[in-house]
Amino acid sequence: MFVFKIIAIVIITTLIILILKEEKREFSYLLTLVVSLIIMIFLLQQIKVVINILEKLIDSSKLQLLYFDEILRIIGIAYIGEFGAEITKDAGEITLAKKIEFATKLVIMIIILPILINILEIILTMIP
Amino acid sequence: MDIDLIFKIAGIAIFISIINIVLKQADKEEQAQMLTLVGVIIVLMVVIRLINELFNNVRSVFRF
Repeated sequence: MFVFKIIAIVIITTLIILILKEEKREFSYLLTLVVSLIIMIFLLQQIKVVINILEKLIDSSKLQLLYFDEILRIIGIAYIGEFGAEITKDAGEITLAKKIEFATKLVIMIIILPILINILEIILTMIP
Repeated sequence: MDIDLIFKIAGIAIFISIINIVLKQADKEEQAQMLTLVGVIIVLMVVIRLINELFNNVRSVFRF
């Protein structure tokens, strides 16, 4: 189970950070960043498995799921954006974190807009 | 998952903070500052490589 691995790593890192925080704040912050990066990279492999299973399910059910790639892309952008915002917030730069969140929302909006227009056009053709 | 990286960075940090204390005792404030800067840059190299790896992985997993 990889959960135990992650918990152990996080606890060990927390103890090291507790020692470092009094002497060198910047190093404790860098250590937090490195550990979260390692964990995120590790979790991506697990996410890959989930996505593969989902894709197999969609293929076997024989109904075409439109916009599956778009959904995946939005999830990826949210993943990265949330990570960046949290890391920035951790360093005390709440204004910059808000900018990252805003940029993420904007990019997601840009991806969604063509789909929204498609739906609106379908609705418009249904109205006589 | 490479846990070595965490211990490496923790080792660098503890080493630099100890040397820093010694340098401060010897009235070498500038050198202490420089040493901290060098340490941060060394760790930053590792961090940049990790960020690159994360972004590439996200790009391949979520099919950008």
